[in-house]
Amino acid sequence: MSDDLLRRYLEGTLSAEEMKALQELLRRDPQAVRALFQEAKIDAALGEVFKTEDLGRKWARRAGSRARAWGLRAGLVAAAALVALAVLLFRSDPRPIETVLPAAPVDRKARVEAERKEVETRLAEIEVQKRILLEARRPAEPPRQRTAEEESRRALAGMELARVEVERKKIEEELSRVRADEAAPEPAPRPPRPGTVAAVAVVDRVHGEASAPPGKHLLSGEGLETRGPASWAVVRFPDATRLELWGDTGVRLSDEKGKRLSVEKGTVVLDVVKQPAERPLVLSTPQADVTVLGTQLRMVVSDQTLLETVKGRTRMTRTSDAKSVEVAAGHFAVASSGGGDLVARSLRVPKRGNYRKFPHPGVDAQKVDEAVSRAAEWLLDQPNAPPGARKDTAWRYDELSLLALLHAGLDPRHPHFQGLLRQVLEAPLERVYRVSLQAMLLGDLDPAAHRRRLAECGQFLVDNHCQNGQWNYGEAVDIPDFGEARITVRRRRTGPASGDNSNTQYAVLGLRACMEAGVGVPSETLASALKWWESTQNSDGGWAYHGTPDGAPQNRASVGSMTAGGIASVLILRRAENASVGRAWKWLADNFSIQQNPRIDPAWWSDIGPPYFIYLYALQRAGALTGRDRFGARDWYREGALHLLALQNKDGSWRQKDFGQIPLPVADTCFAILFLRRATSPLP
Amino acid sequence: MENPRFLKHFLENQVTVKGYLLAATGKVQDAEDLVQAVWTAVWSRFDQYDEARPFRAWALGVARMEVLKWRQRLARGREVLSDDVLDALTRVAAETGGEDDTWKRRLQACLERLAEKARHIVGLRYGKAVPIEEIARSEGKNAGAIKMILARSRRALRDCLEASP
Repeated sequence: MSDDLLRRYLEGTLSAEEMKALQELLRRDPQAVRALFQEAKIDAALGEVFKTEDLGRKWARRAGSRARAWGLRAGLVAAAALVALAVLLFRSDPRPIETVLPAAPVDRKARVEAERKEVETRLAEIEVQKRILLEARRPAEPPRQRTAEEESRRALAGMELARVEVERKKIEEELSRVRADEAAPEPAPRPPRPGTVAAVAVVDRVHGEASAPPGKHLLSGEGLETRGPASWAVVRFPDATRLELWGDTGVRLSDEKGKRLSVEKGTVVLDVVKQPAERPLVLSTPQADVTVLGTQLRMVVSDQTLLETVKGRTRMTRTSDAKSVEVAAGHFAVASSGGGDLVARSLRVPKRGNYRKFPHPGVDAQKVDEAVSRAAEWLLDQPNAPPGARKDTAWRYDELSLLALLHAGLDPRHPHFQGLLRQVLEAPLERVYRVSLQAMLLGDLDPAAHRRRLAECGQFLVDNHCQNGQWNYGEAVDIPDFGEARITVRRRRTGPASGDNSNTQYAVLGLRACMEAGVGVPSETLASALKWWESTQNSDGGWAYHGTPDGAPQNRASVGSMTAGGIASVLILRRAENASVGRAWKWLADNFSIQQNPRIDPAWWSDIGPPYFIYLYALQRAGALTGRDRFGARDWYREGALHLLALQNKDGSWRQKDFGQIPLPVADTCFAILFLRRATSPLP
Repeated sequence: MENPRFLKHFLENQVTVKGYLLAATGKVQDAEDLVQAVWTAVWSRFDQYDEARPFRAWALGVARMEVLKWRQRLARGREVLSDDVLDALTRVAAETGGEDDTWKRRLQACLERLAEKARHIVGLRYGKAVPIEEIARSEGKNAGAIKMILARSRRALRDCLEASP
């Protein structure tokens, strides 16, 4: 019975009563705790073992005969562990990734010697394993009847020994081959000719899928391609020039007339060491040639070429008309085949920008502009780790950052903006928050150009609508192929039974963006969401978080961020004010605070701190949608703006004090920008 | 990455930490999310780790903190293990001896002893998290039979692991 309870707990299928019974059992019986841990450990290990095997097979396929010749399962396990570790650490490590592998020796002698040393090390390791196993097989002293336990131990050691022996033989064979290789006279050097097989670079690292494995030498004329938005690869040249390929990127190398690198598509980041003046590195794209003598740059190639120079100087020459422009550090330029201006623009965020301004009594518009501009600069400086290095998708703020940067007045042609936007548009739709923010972003950016993607966002939100009218965090759904004609979304499935009011208010904002872009949303979805908000308003007029499952009392108590979000949601869904909005407004006026999220229970949030900046953004939405400047006697924008100006950090960011693991300064800074810019447009 | 001591500790404790997190959360997805947070935290605090102390207990202390944070993040009514049970679990996990890499190799050896079919089904269920109903469909059996095979296989694995050192 207890076994069954443990199993079902680990499978996540216990009812609340059974959970209580399990707790009781675990409290009473230490043996049950031990059994639980043992079961969980086996589960965890099985997951790892089968994952490793898959990885091993994939790796062997890719690396071909070489991996088969090694045939080292232990090696694969270690390799898989390393990969897992790398993924874990890089995901959250905000520093740019440094290459740990040395530049591969291109000179033959050094390469063969390194290979021999590596095989010798592996041989030494396997000899140690063998000795340990032989020890385990040794009969007991003095001779006596062996216990069953010893028998099985010996049997296992025997099996393992046989495997180790086979491996050892293979390694020995490889060693003799490598030694012979080393002793053989070096082939006479041939003078390098253009287009010869001289290795020009080596693939240093690969995350995700790429057309060549790490360690592969790329010869002149050969290319490298990364596949999928999350893939990433690093190529190193003999002179230590470093090339990063981000997702879905293709390049081709050539050694003719200096180093030439053609970038067919995607995003590359290059750190080029000083080149001889007569042999510069030339980057060519379908639209332009870029000449480099030593610089750091980033380039995004699609139907146009965006070039951003970080350090040094580059010159970009447009292929179509041979016009050229010098792009100094801190500037970017765009070349498209269709002509137009070819000028270098500054990467800095303009202080005034092209953003519409809101004069407001008592608020110095220039100070707000300056604060927003500094915050946007800070956002742009945040390490934008290569996509392959971060696999977790729940805590990314790409859409929120883009929305904030757009409202900060950043030119959407900015390469960072374009690079991040491309990732967002290509990533699968998986989470309600992120999809809603994406819809808001596209609606504010260019709804006509992104109508198809907006329809996909709408479909995702409609299909993730919970049965009670709320939204939960959401999961990926099948997205139909929307044509160009008028797009109407049908509801094809229901989400879980219930969700929470935080996801729900963002989903409503997302649907609004879809509808304003001309995407038809089923009226029953809108009606059911409105019904949820209006029927769950507390008698005091406020709204609560109302999450699932509904346990803690805090879950039902009115709180500022949810009440402001509720006002915005009802207004969007009803398109007019009503008594419900009036009562909520009164609650906010009675409980108004700009210093904190009204009525939030700090004890409930003792770990990560009560959410504050997200409240300010909700307040802004409620104010913008009602068109009211005041809660009671309180001018919310004036108070909020002055408070935010005082609260801004020296580096330009905003961040809540004492946050735990979740990296929120990015989110906090975005919410502050959206508040200061009054990003929400009023109802038409 | 470049620290071989850390890599060694990681290999020797990877399964224990993940198993602990699975036992503490009761959900594979949550455990997997937390595994990342825990090793990141361990890595960032590695310079505070005193080599004289057992690494496993130290790492599980970090893991326990992460579990507590996780619980506060989701505490809205979901049933989780109480504090005293969590502490007992931490103690039990910290007391287990043996290095995970060797333990895992033993598990692999034990897996080889299972019948081919059973091993395949175990792989589908625990390696790829395929739902039981789906396995049943693809194997042409009913769900009860699959459950039985899984239960027997687990029992065999447990016995095999207990029998070997």
